[in-house]
Amino acid sequence: MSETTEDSDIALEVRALTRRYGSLIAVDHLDLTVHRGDIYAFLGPNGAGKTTAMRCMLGIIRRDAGTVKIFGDDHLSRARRALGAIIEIPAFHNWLSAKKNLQMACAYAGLPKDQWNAEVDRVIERVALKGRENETVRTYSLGMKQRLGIARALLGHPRLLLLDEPTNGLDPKGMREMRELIRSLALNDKITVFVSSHLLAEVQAMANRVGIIQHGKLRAEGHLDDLLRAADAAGRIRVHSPDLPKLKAAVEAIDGASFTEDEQGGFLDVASANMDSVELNRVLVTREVPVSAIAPVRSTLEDIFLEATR
Amino acid sequence: MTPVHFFHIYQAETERLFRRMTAIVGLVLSVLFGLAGPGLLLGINLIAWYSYQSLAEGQSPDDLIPFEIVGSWDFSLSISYYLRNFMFLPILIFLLGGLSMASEFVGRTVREDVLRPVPRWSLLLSKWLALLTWIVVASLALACLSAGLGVLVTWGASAAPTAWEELEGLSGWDWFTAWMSAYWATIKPSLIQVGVTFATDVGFASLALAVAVVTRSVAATVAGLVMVFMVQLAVAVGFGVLGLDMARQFGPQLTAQWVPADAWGSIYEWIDFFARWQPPFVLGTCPFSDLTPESFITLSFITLASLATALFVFERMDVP
Repeated sequence: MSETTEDSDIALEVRALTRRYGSLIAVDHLDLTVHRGDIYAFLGPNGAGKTTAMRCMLGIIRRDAGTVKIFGDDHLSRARRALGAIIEIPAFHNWLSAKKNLQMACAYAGLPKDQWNAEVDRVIERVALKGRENETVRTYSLGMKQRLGIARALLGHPRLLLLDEPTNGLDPKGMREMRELIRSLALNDKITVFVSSHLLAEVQAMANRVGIIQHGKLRAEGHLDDLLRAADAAGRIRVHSPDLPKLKAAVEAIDGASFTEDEQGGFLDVASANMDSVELNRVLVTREVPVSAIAPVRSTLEDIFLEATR
Repeated sequence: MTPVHFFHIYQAETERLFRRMTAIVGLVLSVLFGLAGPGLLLGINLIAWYSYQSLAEGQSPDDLIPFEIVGSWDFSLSISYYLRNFMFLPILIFLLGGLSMASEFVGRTVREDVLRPVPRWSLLLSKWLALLTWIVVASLALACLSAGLGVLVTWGASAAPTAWEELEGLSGWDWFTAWMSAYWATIKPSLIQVGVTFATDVGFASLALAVAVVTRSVAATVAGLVMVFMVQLAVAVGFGVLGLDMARQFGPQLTAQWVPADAWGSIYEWIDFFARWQPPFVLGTCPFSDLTPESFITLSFITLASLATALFVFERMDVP
């Protein structure tokens, strides 16, 4: 057992995490490393084991094997002092006001009683619910409940936030607000964020590191920029031509090149490990293929995700 | 975890419980229930007093009042006492136990508490203590109210017993009289009754939490109480039937072919022995209602076993 270390560079370290439901292995020897300051996106298709893994990390369900360290501390009920979390839709005592819910959460968090009101005011303001805090939670919309959930997770100045699908059920405006809030928490409040999602565009807009899980196993992990660069290095080039059959014939003749065709769009995505767009253009011109447009295809997180979960 | 931290959790749990509509309505009803019997007595005595005043020369009070006052008094007090403490209150305790624990699983609010830097046992223990606090408040509210009414109707009463003086029975447990006189002989039965009621309620509260943790369902928790009553009644009636004088008289004759006559002596010894160990869950309704040290040992065991079960299961369970 080790104590939480303020200077630990690793905010969350998961090793060989395993959880079984009978014969089904929901999480299978999962290894993850989240560094201080990261916005780490935990991705995976539905049923991949994201929520189960997060629940195991938080200790709300048992794990069959593996270790979880939060800022170097593997004693979870103690390490949770440095942690705020939302799992799925946050639950509240709906007949109580938002403020009362938060005050009670202060009691559970072990904050000194004379700090409760100031702390509640701080987090209420942080999630822009000022003026609505005395209303009962049952009057809140889903978006407001999500923000109130974030507020509760922020009580006690956590250094690590674990958010499970925080934009679930939100409208586009709510999603954008949530995304901006998460970014702001990471940038302004210096909170490390571990966020699970399957909304890839959302994630790409805010995360710096990703981990992709499927069937309970980690399929890919790394800095988003590195993963994108590596995917780009595989070299896909989009070529438009008014004479698509001639273009196809010319690409087929190139050694080591392959393509996928979009008939409706009238273009080919050409993959070639040893040829860039300039070189391909030169070859096509020499073979008298009319080319209306040619450009390298930038990989997206979606490409990485689909490749990892194929 | 520091004691102050635990105290704050207990405070939060107590506040949560007392803000539930069920807890508030239950508190009011439990007081009204407790006052129902004495209230009936008030009516009886008012009739008696009025009738006494209007007796004609040579007329007997029995001519005016078609029932025996003292008997009615005792009867309605007993009914009120047993209904409140051994029927109504247990139902409320199981309902509140279910609401404070099982409904937190259904609403998933328990997850939010488990996510905090606290050991799970402290969550369960604080809920249990909050439930006991509600029981103490419900009992004290009735005691204070009835004692207050007792003061009101006996203040300045003459030395001679009157119908008004008898109204101090409103206290139910002779609380005011006991307090005023400070005679141990008077106060002892009251304290025993308060103690028995509270100890039994602690048992109910522990059982309720254990059932709530295991089943995670409010309905199943309340159904658990029905099971407790059924089992307890079955055991009590079983002992009662076997222990009845008639059974003692005819049992040996009816079973002469199978059971040797001299075996019945030890059978009855065993029946008497085990009957003493029944917990006072249905005090007054079972044939062996006398409190015994053994019955309290059983009650303590049930209380501790229930708490231990609840703690064991809650520590290891997956929270939704």
